[in-house]
Amino acid sequence: MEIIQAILIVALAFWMVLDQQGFVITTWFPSIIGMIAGLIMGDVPTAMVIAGTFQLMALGVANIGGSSVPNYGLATLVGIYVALRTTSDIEHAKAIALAVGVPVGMLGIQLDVLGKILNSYVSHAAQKALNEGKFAKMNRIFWIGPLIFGLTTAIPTLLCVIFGDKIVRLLLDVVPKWFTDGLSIAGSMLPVVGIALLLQYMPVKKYLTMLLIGFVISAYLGLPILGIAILGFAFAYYFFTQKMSGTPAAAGAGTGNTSVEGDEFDE
Amino acid sequence: MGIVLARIDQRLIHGIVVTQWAGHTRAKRLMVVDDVASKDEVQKTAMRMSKPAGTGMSIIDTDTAITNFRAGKYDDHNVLLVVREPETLLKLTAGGVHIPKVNVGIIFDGEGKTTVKKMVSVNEKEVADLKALKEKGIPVTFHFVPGDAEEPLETYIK
Amino acid sequence: MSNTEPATNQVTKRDIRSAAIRYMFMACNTFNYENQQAPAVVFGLNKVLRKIHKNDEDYKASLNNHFNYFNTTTWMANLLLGASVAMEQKDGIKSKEAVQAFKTGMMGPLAGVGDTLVWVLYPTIMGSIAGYMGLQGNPTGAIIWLLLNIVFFFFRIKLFDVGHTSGLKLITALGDRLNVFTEAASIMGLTVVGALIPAVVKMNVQLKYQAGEVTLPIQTEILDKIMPALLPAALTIVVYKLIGSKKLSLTSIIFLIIGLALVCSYFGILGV
Repeated sequence: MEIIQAILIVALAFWMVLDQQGFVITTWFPSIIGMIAGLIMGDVPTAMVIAGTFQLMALGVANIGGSSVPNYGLATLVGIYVALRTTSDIEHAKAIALAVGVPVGMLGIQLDVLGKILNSYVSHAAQKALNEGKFAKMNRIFWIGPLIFGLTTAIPTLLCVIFGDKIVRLLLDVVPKWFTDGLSIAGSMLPVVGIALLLQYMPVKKYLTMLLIGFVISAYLGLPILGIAILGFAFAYYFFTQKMSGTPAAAGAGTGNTSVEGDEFDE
Repeated sequence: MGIVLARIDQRLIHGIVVTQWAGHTRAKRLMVVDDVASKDEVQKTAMRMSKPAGTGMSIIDTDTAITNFRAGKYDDHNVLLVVREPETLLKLTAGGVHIPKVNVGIIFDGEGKTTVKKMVSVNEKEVADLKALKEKGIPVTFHFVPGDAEEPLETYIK
Repeated sequence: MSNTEPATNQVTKRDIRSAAIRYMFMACNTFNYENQQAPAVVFGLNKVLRKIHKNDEDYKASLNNHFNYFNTTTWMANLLLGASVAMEQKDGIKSKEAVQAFKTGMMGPLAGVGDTLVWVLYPTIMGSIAGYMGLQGNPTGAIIWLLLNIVFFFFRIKLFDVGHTSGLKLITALGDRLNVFTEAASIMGLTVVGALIPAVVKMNVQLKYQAGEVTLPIQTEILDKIMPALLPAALTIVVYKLIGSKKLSLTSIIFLIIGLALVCSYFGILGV
């Protein structure tokens, strides 16, 4: 059973990056990966707590335009595996997942860069095959690309699967309680990183009102997030319909331009 | 005020520009100066779609840009300028537009080009133009995303 | 164009669908710093282009053209590539320059709106909900997200077909609407993010204030009285400023917070 779980976790690591960069169904977002990993390991609730922590850290981390980012999906996966192998206590599991996951996730940046460098050779080899008229060979060469990227996540996962829980067990015996507690505390503070990063991209100045409304309803009234999301949708819907009714649908008709907003046209 | 940063990026206004550079430069206006793109309605429509809330956007040709800058149209806010070729920036400076800093983001690979670093491949003309910009006393750096380290021109182009 | 295929070449709906799926699978999985997604474009289109270019030399010329730099949001690429196939169908290899100009001209602008919607706003809204539910051990949010992704998967296949039959009319038809939509999504996103701060960032001060006979637990009697989630809000502002100042990398900030938590745990300032 343990062997099968280990194999499935490594396979998921391999697939995760291919899907994120291709089909975008299971993605590498921690929530979804955590759910699948939880099913494999037979403890969905604990896996979801770990995944939730990493998901919130990963808010605002977008791997766009060819930039490399920490791989929080990888962090989630190895974090969940090692934590569930070593403990059944949720707070403990969170601390272990963080201690194992964060460094491995950061390592993901370097491996991603390496994968992109190696793929230059794949591209050249494929183009060479094309110009030699070996069309079938060209198509076979392309498959090396996904193989490289799959390995960038599968290899670190494999190492964590083989050695992770043994090392962590050794450490747990010597690490004092304040240290594991400290990691748990960090886990409850770290979502702030994702939130703060996200706010860099969002029009905070323009819509500070919404941020404050969300905060107040959550902090003072304790409404669950889904309810607040629906409220946010209501604001968004109102804004959208107002804007749409006020503007002709024709594109670029210079609608409601002020000197600082909107487009200008070269006359 | 006016231009706070000029970026050479052959993808013009794309994901990284709207999600990272716009915020990083505190731009109130994203400006594309390009004689081809300014005539292409579909490209313009697509770029306008990605306009971040609370910023303006101009997609204009070089002459219009020079005229507008001379008229002081953009003096009161931060402009992030994006162009396809260093040559455009030379024309703008010749037209009296003040450019405080140039960063090289993306220049495509193609015939007769050498790849100098990831995302940047240049031909002889581009190298000469970049050097000419530097000679005018404008700092020229390689900077793909704000989170990367900024590297001066000499790092890759001697 | 209608649904009946032109007699000149036999590109069927099935070929288009298969090209879409081939490209979508490979999208960034052959990503490299020189020509980025180009190999994936060639991988995706080479079957359908073979039907269009019967002559080997034309076929090579066409694929070599597609080996040129390409990079855009993969969802938007389907629209662009569908339209590119239509161009090559219409004019054969003579369309080479036009296809190249079209692809390079449109890929950036489409990525501007695509990346914002697909890689920032969508994961923000879903990630906030799924992450928050996850902290309570509940996978519902993750399941909804997964199902939505499946819906979008079919929608993207459709986009390729739309590009093939009507080019970029969709973009011009949407006009400013997509920009307003993005702004509306930002409004929803910010409301959710504001709610997340007190809901998921937790800091519990363990210290007690001693004044003679009276002990005051600082967290419940002082901080919470001023404002619930006072410390999480303050921490958010500090980290927001830190990231904005660009003095520290994100990785450093993460390790800084872990270090701070360990110190506070050791001295009993913060508790689980």
